[in-house]
Amino acid sequence: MKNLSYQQKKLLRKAGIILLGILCFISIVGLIRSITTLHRAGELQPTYVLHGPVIHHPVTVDTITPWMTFDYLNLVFRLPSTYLQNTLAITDAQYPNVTINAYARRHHINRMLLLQNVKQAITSYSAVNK
Amino acid sequence: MSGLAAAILPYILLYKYWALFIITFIASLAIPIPAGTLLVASAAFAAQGYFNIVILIVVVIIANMAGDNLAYWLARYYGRKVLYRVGFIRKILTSKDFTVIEKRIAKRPGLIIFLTRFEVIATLTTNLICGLGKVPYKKFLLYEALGALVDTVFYAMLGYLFGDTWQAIDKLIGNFTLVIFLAVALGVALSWKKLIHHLSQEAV
Repeated sequence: MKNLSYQQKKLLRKAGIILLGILCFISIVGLIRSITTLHRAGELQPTYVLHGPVIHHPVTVDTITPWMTFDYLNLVFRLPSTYLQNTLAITDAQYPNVTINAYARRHHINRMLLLQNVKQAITSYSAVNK
Repeated sequence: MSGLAAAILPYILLYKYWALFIITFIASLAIPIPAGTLLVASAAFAAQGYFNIVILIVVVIIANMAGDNLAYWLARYYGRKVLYRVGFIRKILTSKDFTVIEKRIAKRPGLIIFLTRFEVIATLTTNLICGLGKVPYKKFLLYEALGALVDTVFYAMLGYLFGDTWQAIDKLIGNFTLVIFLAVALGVALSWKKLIHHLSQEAV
C-alpha cells in the first residue's frame, strides 16, 4: 500500500466500495427471500398457545438434532427417565447427560441411524401415551 | 445455525446456567462467539421447560456486564501497552482518523455503546475503544447496562415466543444483522472524508 500512487489508492477505494455495494445488494436479496420463504412456511408466527400465564409449545420429533442430550429429550417429550435407555439399550454411564452425537461416537454407532431410532422410539411412546 | 453454535449448544444442555454464563462472559470479553444465537436457543429451551426464563435472563445480563466491564478496564490499563507492540495496530491507533473517532466516542458515547450491544464484533470493538479512550466509567457502565438489558430481553423473548422455530428466526436475524452491517460499512466508506471532517469539528 505504501508504494501505490494516489490514483491507484483511489481506484482501490472505488473497487472496495463497489464490492461492498454488491455484497450489500446480495445480502438484501437473501434477507427478502428468507422472509418470504419463512412467511410461506408459516414459521414467522409465534408457535405458542397461551394457557393462562403459561406458554405451551408444540414439540415435534422433526426438531430433534444430534447435538441434543437424552436428558433434554426426556424433559421436552415428557418421557420416563429410563424409557430411551431401555428401548435403545443404551449402556453409557453418563446417560442421560450425553448427546446423541457423543453416544454414537463412543459406541461406534451410525449417528443418523441412532437419530432415526431415537425419533421412532419417541413417536411410539407418544402414540401410546397421548 | 453456524457450526460453532451447534458445537457449543450441547454444553449448554449439559452444564446449563454455568455454561451460559461462561460462554456469554467470554463472548463479551474477547471472542466473537455467536452469543445471540445461543441465547435465542436457550430461551426456546426455557419455553419447553428446560430452563427458567427469568433465571436465564438474569444470568446472561450479569455475564454480559461482567465481560464488557472487564474488557473496558483491561483496555484502559493495558490496552495501549499491549496493542502498541503490534506494528499495524500501532499505526491504526496512532492515525489521525482513529484519534478523531476516539475523541468523538469519548465526548458522547451513550448511543454508540447502547447500539453496539446488539452485535458481538461491534461490542468488542466499542469496549476496546472506550477503554483506550478512557471514556468516563460511569457513563460506560450506564449505557452498557441499559444495552445489555435490552439486548438480552430482546433475544430471549424471540426464542421464548417462537419456541421450536427458533432456528429459522435466528437465521433471519443473522441475515438482517449482516444487511445492517454491510449497509453501515458502505455508508461509512462512501462518506469517509466528510465523516472524519465532521467528527473532528465535533471533537474540538
